[in-house]
Amino acid sequence: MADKVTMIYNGREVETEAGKPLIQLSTELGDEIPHFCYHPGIGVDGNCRMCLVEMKGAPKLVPGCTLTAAAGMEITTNSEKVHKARQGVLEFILINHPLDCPICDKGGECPLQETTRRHGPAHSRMADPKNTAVKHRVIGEHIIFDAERCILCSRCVRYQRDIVGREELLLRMRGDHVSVDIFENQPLTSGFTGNLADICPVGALTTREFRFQARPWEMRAVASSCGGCSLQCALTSWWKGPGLQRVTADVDHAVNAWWLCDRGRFDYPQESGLAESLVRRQGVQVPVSAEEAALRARELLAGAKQPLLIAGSRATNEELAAVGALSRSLGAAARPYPTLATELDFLAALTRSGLELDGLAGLGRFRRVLVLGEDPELAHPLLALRLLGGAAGEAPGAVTLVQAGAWAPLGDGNRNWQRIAVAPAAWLAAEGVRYVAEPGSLLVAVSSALVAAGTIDARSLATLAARAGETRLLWLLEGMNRRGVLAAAAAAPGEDPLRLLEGGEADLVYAFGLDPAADFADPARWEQGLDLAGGALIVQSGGLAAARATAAVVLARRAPIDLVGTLTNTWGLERRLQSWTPVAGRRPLDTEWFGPLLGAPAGSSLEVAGRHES
Amino acid sequence: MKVKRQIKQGWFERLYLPAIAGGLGITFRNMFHPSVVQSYPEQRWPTPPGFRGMPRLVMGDDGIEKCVACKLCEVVCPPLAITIVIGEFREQDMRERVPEVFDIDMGRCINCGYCEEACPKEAIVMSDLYEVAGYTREELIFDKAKLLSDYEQYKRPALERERQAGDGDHGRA
Repeated sequence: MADKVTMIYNGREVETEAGKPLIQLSTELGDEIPHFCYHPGIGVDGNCRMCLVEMKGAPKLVPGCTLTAAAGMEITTNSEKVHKARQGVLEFILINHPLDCPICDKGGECPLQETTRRHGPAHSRMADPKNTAVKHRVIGEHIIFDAERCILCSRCVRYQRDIVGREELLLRMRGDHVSVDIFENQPLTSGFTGNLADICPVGALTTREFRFQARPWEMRAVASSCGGCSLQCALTSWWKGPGLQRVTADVDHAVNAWWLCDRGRFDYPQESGLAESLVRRQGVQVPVSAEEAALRARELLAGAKQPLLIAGSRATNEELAAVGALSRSLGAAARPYPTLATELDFLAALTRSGLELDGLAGLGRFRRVLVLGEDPELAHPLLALRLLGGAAGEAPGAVTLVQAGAWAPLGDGNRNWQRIAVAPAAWLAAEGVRYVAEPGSLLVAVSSALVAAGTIDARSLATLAARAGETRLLWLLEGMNRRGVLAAAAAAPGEDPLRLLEGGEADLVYAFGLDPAADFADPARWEQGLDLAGGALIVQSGGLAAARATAAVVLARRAPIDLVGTLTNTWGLERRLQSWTPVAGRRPLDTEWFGPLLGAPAGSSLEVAGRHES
Repeated sequence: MKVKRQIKQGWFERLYLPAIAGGLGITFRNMFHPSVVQSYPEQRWPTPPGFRGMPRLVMGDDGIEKCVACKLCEVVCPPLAITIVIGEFREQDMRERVPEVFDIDMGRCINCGYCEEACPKEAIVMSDLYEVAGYTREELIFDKAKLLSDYEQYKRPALERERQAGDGDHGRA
């Protein structure tokens, strides 16, 4: 904990931590020094001059972003001198900034717009026409650049250089010709380009996906988490009625800091659920209402002698618990979660060992990081970004990545990254002992496949626990809520569901929220098993196209971004999922139709609808 | 409650004849006054300055609507009469953004003029038109084509003066 210091801010005595950035302090005090080029995640540059403040002892105004709290410091931000400086700076910035706020995607949530309204001059004194430039240039798969709007704060250039570690943007030319640009014919390639639209303080960098979709005031911002991978980054989803308009990053230092990967921002929200409920009648699946499908499903489940329920990593913790409760009340022999014995053993050992990493904040304290069995940029992109560390000084000393597959381009020019294209098991056998024996702090991240295969197990944990220096392990699970599935399975008694499925013992199978790639070590075996179940199959899950085609009942399922509840992320942190809510009434959850089977009191909307029909 | 009426009529009032004569006097006087009746709808009064009739969309000089679908009128509209869907313009060098759909439900519109006030492009104006009638509610939902169609016919003299005086963009930085 940093030392407490006392300083004077606008004539008020303030106690704060030494070294706290002045802009952060001003926000906490409700003053908010206006700024453009400074961003807490990217760091200080001091080029926009918007944050000029008066400091006692300094002959001239000082850029506030370069200052940090110190004992005896005296800062004034509300004097006439500061006010005039702000007006002057804004007048210069606005000389060439176009007045196209009505058509700008940033309009309504634009720092420049807000700062001008609060601190700017009311009128322009410029008689000459403004500079014009290319207004919509596609510079990446997701990003459009408007050179006219750019105020040259260089946040984007520094983000690419310091955070992503790929210099793909530059400030080209000099003087009044200067412009942000990509290198010739080299569009942005990193998987983190969506953040550029978040950090741009004007509407110069916008996303192609959100271009002209909606204005900020029309949408409702919902704080939620990303289910694109098991890190579960904090995000805000923006809804207009039931329609998702865009996704932006939320700040969460334990997970994603200020950033989101493009997969989480653009691809994950596209993942669909099941819109229609289907019931098989005379061999043909016909669309029916949700109530009717639920009635039929309840009939089938109540009539089954040996039902088998499986819920997977595309379900929230609450849904997993609901399926577990249903499975128990129906007297199913198998536990309703697809897991492997190796995974459950490892989970128990990991919990006992106390070696588990508790968050991605402060990765800089590790001298060495070893990532085994995956390229984090492909599987858990934000981990790769955090390992690069960026300007926040969080980068670990050295990163060694071992995997046999293909590499994404992120670590290319980084001298601290060593990438070894060898099968991890072979590398561990040859180098493992020597690598681990070296003293100093060490973080080991292992892929879920290595644990599932038994390459990394309780013995590996014991080896790690025995070494000198701080040692932590991060288990990189695949799939959205795999950790939640494992935790639920660890607490649920019963047989392995795969054995029952393959043995053909189950006379009815209910599949809920499965992600075949993450949930099944061998998806083909599961698919064969589900094929065996044939007509006696209820599906309420995305994916599983083959199984869905043969199912007796298909129940509607929300899209992942639309789920409500909690998830457990890959190191056991509980994360919240939230979605849009209607102005009046409520939306039933996907597991609410279980109600009557669980002997729950009547009153759920589906239950009421069911009674009306009968 | 009991109301006391204190109407005392003298013999003169009770005659009634003077009152009849007075009334007929007014009648005959008006017979020779100039007429104030107009043969609506063939004849119409000029609307007073500041009159707020139906909102209309304005066509730019380049033959494209001035509206850029910024949605400020939609959000400011008290009875939620305006519906806008943003569209991207095909020939992008001329204009980037136009409304793909611009509907005003005249059954809802209360002619308050907030849309005209909010518009940063002077693309929507309150016209002199005041005859809104239809046989169904659907008929009263005016689409973009209709809102643009008769603007030329009903454009406001005041707006014309403003346009002649100078460009509409007020000089905010």
